[in-house]
Amino acid sequence: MMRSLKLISAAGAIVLAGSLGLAACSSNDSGTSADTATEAAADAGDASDNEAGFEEFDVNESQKDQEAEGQINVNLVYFQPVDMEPAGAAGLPASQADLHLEADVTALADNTLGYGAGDFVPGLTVDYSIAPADGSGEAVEGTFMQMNASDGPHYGGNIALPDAGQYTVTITIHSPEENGWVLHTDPDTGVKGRFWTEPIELTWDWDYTPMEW
Amino acid sequence: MLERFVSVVGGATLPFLLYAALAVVLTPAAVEGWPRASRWRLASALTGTAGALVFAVLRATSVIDRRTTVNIPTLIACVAVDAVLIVVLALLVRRPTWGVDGRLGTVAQVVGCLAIALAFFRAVPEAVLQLAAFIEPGEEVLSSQMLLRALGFIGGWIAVALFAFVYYRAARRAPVRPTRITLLVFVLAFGTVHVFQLARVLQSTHRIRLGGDAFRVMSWATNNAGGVVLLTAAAVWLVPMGFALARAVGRTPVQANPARTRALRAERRRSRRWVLASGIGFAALVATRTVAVAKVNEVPTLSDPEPYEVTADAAVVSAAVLGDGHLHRFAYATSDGTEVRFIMILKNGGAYGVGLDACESCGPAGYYEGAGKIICKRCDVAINPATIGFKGGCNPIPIDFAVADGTVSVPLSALEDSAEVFA
Repeated sequence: MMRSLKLISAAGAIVLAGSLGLAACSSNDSGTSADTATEAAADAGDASDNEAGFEEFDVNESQKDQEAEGQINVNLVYFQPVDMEPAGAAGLPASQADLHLEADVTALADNTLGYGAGDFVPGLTVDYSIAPADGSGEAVEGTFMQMNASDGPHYGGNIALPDAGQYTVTITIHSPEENGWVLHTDPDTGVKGRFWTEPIELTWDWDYTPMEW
Repeated sequence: MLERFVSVVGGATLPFLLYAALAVVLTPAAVEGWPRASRWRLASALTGTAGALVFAVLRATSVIDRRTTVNIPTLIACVAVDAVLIVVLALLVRRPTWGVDGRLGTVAQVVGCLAIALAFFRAVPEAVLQLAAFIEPGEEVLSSQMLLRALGFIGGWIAVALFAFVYYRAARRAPVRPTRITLLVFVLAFGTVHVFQLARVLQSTHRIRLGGDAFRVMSWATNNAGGVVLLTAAAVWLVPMGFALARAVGRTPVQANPARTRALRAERRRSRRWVLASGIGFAALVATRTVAVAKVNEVPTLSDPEPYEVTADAAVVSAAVLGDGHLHRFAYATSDGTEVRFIMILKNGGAYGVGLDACESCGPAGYYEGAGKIICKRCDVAINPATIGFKGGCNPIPIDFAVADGTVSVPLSALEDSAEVFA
């Protein structure tokens, strides 16, 4: 009996070690090949792997890429909490957060404000509210910060959201004009469009489950 | 410290109780020395813990860039082994003689060892990864806060191990069949937790899509795993202990041999003490998962605004009021009726930090003072008081002020202009 015990326990240890080894082998580093990244992304359903090797998830696949005012496209994704600099001035530390929520605000191809197609739209004030869909409890609210990650600039923040549940996420995008962004209006260099005057409000339904990052 | 303690207790109690449950069922009635099977159970727990430590280190150093790569196969293995264990324990309830040295002895011991190793491997990383949170960004490596967190972490492990040991000793004194039925129920609950955890991980990685009631049930189980579910699983153990206590109270039956009577009396006294200790342990667990959790999650109330003097064009606060170095809150009613709150603090070095009781990130949530830091009520970010008055992040929004003749004054125009922040 004890010999079987030893054999099975050893097998168990090998299984544990094997799964770790496999994980280490399958994990991405900065040198991940495109093939590996593609396979991993396919494996994770709608999760996308970027070159830095972390997984991004859409808040709601069916509400991806929401357009507003004919000028901008907004996509909402989340991934693991991240450390940011300068510490203390960059919101919640990663150790106290459950996720990093990111709003990718890019210019539409036919925008009339002078942005390049698909370019990040800078200088916005982007507020977020994550409220339980049934109206119970308190909403998690705040303002995203502008920041750069290895895949470029975005609006985002570390957020503490420990409870699973159905939430409604509301993103409010204020006009760049509020932050003093100006537009050329002369015939030679001016843009045809004008900034929106009322804050843009977009919503996402989110069936949220805390992730083990 | 309390936060770490509570977190460890929430995550590590069930694996330790599984260990105790299997020790109760699979340890021979008469024990001489340290049985080999007991050593293998300990080795399994240590193997699972060691594997978990390696896993946590690989994750913390980003060698493994996502825990789900390991967690999904681990949880599938957990659920499979739990299922086999439930069948084995059910058979041992039905046929107690099949245990230990019986026809199911080897299978029961092996499955038990696997279940223990997997349970510890599954539960430990979450707690171990907290090690990374012992030192907050910008904090010194060796600080009293860090040491307190480490103490809470270690204390949690010791408390849970002690709790499981007390349960084991008490349950060993309870009648066999009720105890085994109870522990079968416990393992069923334990297995169910793993099933929900697997569902949660698969859902969170979008590998499955639960909707409607299924999602709500999974959400409830996820949100209550460390609370109601844990306490229910731990409370189940009290059933056989009730039987043990019932057998150990009242007059001790007189034996033919007085020495036997004394021995029986002492035995019954020990049973009462172990059951009492288990009750105290369970009460401590309940307190930890209710009162202590509430304390950790407590949202502090902001102190009431203090009085100050209003002149024709400024809000004037006496420097003497600010001399204590603590946070002081004031409120001003603007012409449109909005209450604008502002804070002041005398910083080390004699400078004043003045700002709105609001920040760019969290709006007018307000700040309170704790552990020498100024903390945002909404996001818990601890602000170094020295940085108050500087823009950025969750710092209070700076506001114009002037220091003169023993007073600190804020122009009313600046407060009026800040009304939109609090509107």
